[in-house]
Amino acid sequence: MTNRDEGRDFIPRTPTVRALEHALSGGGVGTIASGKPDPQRYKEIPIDPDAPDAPVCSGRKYIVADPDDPNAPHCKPKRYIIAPDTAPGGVTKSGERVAWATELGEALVERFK
Amino acid sequence: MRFAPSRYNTVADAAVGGGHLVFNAFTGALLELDDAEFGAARSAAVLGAQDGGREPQFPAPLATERDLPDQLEQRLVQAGVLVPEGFDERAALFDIRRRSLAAPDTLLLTIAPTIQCNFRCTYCFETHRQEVMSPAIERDLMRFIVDQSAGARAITTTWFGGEPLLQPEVLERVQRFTNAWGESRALRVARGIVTNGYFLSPNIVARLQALGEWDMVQVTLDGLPDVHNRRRVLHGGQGTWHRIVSNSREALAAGLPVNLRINVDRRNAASLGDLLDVLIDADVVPQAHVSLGFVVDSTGACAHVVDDVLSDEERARLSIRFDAELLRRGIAPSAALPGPICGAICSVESSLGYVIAPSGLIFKCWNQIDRDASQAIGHVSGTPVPNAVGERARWTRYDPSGRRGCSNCSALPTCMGGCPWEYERLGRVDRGECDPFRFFSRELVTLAHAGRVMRRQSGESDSAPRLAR
Repeated sequence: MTNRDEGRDFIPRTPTVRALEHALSGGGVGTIASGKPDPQRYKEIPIDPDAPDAPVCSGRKYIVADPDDPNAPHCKPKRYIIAPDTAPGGVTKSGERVAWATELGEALVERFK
Repeated sequence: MRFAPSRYNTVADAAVGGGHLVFNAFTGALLELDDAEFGAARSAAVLGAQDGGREPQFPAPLATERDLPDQLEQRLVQAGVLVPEGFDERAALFDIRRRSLAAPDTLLLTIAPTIQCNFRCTYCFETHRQEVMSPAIERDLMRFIVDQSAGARAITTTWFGGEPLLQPEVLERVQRFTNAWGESRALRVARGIVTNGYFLSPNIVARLQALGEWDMVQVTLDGLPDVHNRRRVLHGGQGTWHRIVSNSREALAAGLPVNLRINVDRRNAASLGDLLDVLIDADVVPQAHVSLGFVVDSTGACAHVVDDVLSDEERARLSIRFDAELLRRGIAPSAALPGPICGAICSVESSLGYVIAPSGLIFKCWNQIDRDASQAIGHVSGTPVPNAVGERARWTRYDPSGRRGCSNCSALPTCMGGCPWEYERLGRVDRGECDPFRFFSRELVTLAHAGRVMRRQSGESDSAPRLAR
């Protein structure tokens, strides 16, 4: 699943989101939108068969933009992929205590004792 | 276009930054709002004080003209917090579910190469016969995979048992075949295994890794060493903690994605925080994804544990507490942001979902793995079974849309009625096994947001492992 994760907004690419978009575009209620993802949300890039997470397909590797799109031919090369988030990286390591997390964790532990 | 508030909004406090969160269970979208945006949404009656309660408003509030800044309105609409007037989210959910169930695209296989197990866990739901998959059944299974994957786009294999690593050769042969078949037909192949971890030696880890990338390797612990060693024991009653933890540590170091499942009931629920400290000291957590599993008296074989089983609400409380224990130790909570279930919950619901016993019998639910032919829907050889029609019909009757409790619940998108087996077993009319989101949606949204922030800050992936079921 490819999701839109832009700062303060996280919008997953779920069938329900597609149904909502379809309704918004006047396509009626309860139907699943299909076709190429909205170009606003995707960045066109060349196929990268060497990408480490590219699924194996017919002996070659391709990046798939939206494997959960019911109409996406799963193993045909696609020329688009969600723009990757640039992870801040290295700010904290898992297991390294962070004040706000410790505080929230302790408050909830106490409340749900 | 006129808009109305969604039935499935939850308002919560942000874990960090002092802002507000709005989660929509229909879309799975999460927005962070600052005080001004939150105030504007509240003033325009987009977000009510009741959001996040157990019962959403049915029918949905009427659409009205709202005085919202354009950009904020656009964000709320894209997230599904505001929906077009007349858009029936509940009807859309069930419509999406029906379409997805009618056209499954993934062959979901749970395969038990044996029913034997070297453990005798005190609460196990299986009876362990001396049954191993024969070469003839293996060949039938491979033909079954070929037949059933016609039209599929992916195959997911989850190795189960008994203890599947008692028969690693069967696992290797069938998985290698599935890999090759998938590659030849351009099918994505995903792999998972549920093992007690006792045989997860470096040699076995290398053999598993030779079969491709694993999405999930589930290993179970039952609490602190003395508790675990009384519950998850070998045939002779010997404890298993140290070997499991040692194997898990080495498997993680070798790159296998071990998910530690902590089985919990009334007897061991109190010591989860101490357990996390022991696992951190043992260098297993946070490398392993760690999550709770709940002991349930799901079959007659484990009916004696009924007094130890936690209620739905107790499980929800414990889930929050466990995630809070992780958080206070600087580890991202195990619960991912809840999302809408848009297809089959498990192999029971998918018409391409099969649980294969070593005898070749085909069942729909994991809990049936040790049953006889009377509960099977078929056999991988094609040999008829006595109740195939009835057993298939038994599961196709499962439909949460007809249940008042489920279809009116604010957690519906994230649970879609819950486990079919438990619904049938519990015998409740209006609802099945309830998801923690039904009880503590605000806290879960705050915790999931905390997890997102922590993973983002440490550059980790935001996805949680999943099994075929």
